[in-house]
Amino acid sequence: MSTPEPQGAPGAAAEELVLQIAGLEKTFNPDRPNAVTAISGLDLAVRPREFVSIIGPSGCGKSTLLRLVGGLIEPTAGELSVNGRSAQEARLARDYGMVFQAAGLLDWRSAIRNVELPLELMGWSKSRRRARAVEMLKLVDLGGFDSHYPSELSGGMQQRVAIARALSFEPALLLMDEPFGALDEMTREHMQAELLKIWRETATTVIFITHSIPEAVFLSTRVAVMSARPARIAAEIPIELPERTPLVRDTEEFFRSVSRVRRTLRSVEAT
Amino acid sequence: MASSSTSRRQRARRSLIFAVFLVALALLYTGYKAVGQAIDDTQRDWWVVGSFLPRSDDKNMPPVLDILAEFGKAPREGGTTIGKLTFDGALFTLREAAVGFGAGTIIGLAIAVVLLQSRRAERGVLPYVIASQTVPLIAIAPIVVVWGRTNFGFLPWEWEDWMSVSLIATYLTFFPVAVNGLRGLQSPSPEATELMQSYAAGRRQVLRRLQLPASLPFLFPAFRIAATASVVGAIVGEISAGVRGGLGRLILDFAGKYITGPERLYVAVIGACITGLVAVGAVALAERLVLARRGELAR
Amino acid sequence: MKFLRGGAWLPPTVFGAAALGLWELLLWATDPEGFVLPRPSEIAVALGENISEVQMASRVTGFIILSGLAGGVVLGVVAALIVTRFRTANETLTPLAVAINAIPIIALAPLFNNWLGITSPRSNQAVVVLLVFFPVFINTARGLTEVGDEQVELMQSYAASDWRIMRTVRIPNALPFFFTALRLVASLAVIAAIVVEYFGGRQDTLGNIITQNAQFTRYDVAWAAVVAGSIVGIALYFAALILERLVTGRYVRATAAG
Repeated sequence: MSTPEPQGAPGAAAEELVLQIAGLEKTFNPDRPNAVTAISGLDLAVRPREFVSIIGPSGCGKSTLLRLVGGLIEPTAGELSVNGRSAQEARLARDYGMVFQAAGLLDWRSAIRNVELPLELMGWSKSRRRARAVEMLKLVDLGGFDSHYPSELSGGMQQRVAIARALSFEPALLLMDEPFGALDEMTREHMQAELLKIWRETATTVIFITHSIPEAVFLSTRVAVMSARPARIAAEIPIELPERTPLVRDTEEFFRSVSRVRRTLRSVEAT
Repeated sequence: MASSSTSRRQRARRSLIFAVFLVALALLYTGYKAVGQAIDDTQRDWWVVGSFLPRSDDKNMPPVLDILAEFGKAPREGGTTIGKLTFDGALFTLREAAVGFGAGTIIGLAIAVVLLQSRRAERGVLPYVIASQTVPLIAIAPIVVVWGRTNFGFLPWEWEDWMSVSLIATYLTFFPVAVNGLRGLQSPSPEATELMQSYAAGRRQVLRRLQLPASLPFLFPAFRIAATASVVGAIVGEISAGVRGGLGRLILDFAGKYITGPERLYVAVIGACITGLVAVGAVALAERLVLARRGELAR
Repeated sequence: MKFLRGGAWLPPTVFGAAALGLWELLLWATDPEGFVLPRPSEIAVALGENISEVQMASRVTGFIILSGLAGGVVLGVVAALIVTRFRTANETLTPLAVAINAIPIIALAPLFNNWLGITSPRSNQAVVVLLVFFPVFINTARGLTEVGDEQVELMQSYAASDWRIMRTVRIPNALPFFFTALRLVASLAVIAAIVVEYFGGRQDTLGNIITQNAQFTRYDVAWAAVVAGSIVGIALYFAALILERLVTGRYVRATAAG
């Protein structure tokens, strides 16, 4: 895969971009004394098949950004388009697969029926969605756990079901909000490798929110560093690694990238 | 599975506890009678008895064995036994209660779903749903029966008085279902709701796939309360409305003929207690079946 | 207190006024024959005309409700405090109480009448006490026992005594459970007391006013007594609610702030 260039100028034609954000602003409770501007003047562009991590100090509005992209909340000002459509239109066209920190599986549905949920809502036939769900569970290495209920699965397995669910309908954009935040270190590294494998196999574009620097470096083709209050993208760092296997974590390139992101983050926090 | 066998053992244990309780109750009753009579024999005007403590003579507290024997006796030679009368009355009352329970559940769920749609509707209406339970509608059962006779002529079926009693049971049942149902419908996490939004799911889809299934664990406790309430509503409704055929009427009749046969009243009251247990037991069974299908008992 | 502010009162007031107005207007316009639901204004007039009788009856019934409520709540809480101290007692008696709670306790009223005297208010009080006892006991016992293991273990790591754990962990944990039951029994006690009056007790009670006037088709007077009963019930419900805010409000706020 070709290493993407740093996204300095969003001058590329809009059709080539999966996501294009310019001058985005979000103010909660506008016209009220308790108004809070969470995001202001935020620009970001994402090309197809990119894996972009967004990292920043906690409470800086990363999740707000993801919800804006996902069309769950409306921006106050600015432009935001997904494949040339507004976020709302893209949501209604089922362009998004979302994964949150909490797996958010429905307790009363078995693993396979959880994966089937979005397909059910989209009116797929029973046989077709069953076949797809089986395939997706295999993709996340959970073949054979079809009939298990969430309460019978570990945290990592639940999160994998959530990922299978998000990918089941082949969304244009996978939006992940600290999906591995609640997992232990071992499971986390395993899940990261798994996610990379899935990303390669499915050719999905991913926007990944995290506050772990090594995680961002290991997964991403590009790391976007956010500044706090009001949030904007302060810097974008392309990540070039010789390979994307767990062993890369011990290489010099990996360390160099990690420390570069860390220095950037520090300089952003200082201002 | 291991967990289901423990719960079976647990249920067996509970049945045993209940049996022991019944025996203990009978012994306590008999023991109290003995003590009370001893006190009576020595000191007739002890004011506590009959005021704070029950009177213990055979008229007011018939011996346990007499009560049990009464089940098999018939008021008239060769007629139906008291036990059979009580059983028939219990079936009649259960039908009233079941109809009331069904209607109450539907109305309660409908209210919950409507109030779910708007915060303002919830704020405006919920206080009245709560206040409705302070209106002692059971006490005006006769009015409800008169009302039922005169105002339901438009229905395709003949309105009978027992249906008015069901209406009273409905009034007592809809409340827990509405309140718990609303809480259950509101119980899904913001993430789960956002997830449904990200699939562009419509309001009905969210209701059907997310909110209704999520409300079941909240609804079953409400159903259990409603089951008892529907039996109470049916019995008391019959009594105050003067509807014949059920347990309530039986209790009233036997209370009137108390002097000639106090044991009969005990039989009818025991029948009422069993009816309440049966109603709640049926709900508990339904709960087990539903939750087992959802795999929630596997935990 | 937030719930005393205007914002919380406006929607219910608007809805209530609209419903009453609609009810009045509908009956006034159609004037259905044989209809047993009088117009609100007729009920208000009947209430005004019979105010002294209704007031007296409310006092008599109100005393039965309050004393029964107090007795049942105290007994329920004390029983829960004792029973939850012993594991086996708790595991035996609490499921038993749940089962007993399934029986229609009001149906026991005729038995109590015979035991304690048909004209005495004592039997009515006894039924209310019994009816209040079970929900209070069951909920309080659940609140006292359904405590996070880690909280208890943390206290044990400080070598806290059982009594200390009770005071700092179990009782605060039980408060919301207890108040849920209290709100429930506040309105339950009113209904129970009025219904039990049908079986016996004094003659000058709300229950008797309702049944006697309903018999003579003086529905407006019967409804006036029903309204009086509702007012008592709503007052008790709010008393329970205010008590709950006073007791738990502070620590809920403190948790939210911290």
